[in-house]
Amino acid sequence: MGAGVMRQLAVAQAHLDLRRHPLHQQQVPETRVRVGRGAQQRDGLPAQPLYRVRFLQKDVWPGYRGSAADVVEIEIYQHWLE
Amino acid sequence: MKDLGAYRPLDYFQLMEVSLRELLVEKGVVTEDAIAGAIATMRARGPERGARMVARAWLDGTYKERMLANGTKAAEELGFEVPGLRLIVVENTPQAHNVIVCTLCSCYPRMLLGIPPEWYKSRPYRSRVVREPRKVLAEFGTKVPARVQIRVHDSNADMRYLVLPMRPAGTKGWSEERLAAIVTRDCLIGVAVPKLPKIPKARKS
Repeated sequence: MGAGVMRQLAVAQAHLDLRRHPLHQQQVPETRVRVGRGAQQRDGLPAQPLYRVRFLQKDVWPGYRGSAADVVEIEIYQHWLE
Repeated sequence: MKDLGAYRPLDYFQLMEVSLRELLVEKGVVTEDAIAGAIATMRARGPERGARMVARAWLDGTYKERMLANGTKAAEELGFEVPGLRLIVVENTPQAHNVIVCTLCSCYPRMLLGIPPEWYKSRPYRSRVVREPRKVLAEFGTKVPARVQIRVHDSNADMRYLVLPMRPAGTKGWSEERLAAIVTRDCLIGVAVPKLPKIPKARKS
């Protein structure tokens, strides 16, 4: 998915239930390694909300062949959107 | 003659794994026995735990509600630890069919399903099931009618997913063990649906 995510997010917001409430707050895995112990030397804090975001398949893939109601759900951390 | 395979030198990641393992043992952090034991446990684990959860949910509506509200707690309720991860259980209904993928790598609820199958980790599955889920499901023998919505769940960050399939007709009065036996790994990933075992027809004489 990668680069198109931001654009698709706007599309999804316009179309259907972007789940605004985060499922949980979580330390960020890519920086979670404890100070002094790991390669990144960061603590993964502050904890970030992790969202499940639902997109209509037909909005994500041009020429999607399937039902217009089909969806794909991905996980997005708050800080990926900032 | 027995095939001994061709000799191949270790690749970068294999070499890193061996080096790290040997260092941990040398420094007394873990023992060779502990590593071998952990690998054996992991290898021996199959989808039984996930199947048990599904069978329980089919029999106990309140357990099902708890499972859909919080998969991690529902797993723990049956004594299955889900360390450090959030387990999301998604329910198949007559209106919606769920399927799980990890497009980035091979995230999988190993603690409940064991080691993922090779195809789950393969690039074709990971790239195709998000793009043409109906076609991929059909290749697994699962034809989802057009009126049923497909929901593809990409575990691309920190959650793990388990599909709660629909209980097939003809299983009334079945025990939890009997129900669990028809819940295969593929049903829990969502590429298949539970089927009754084929009973060979009695021959007419």
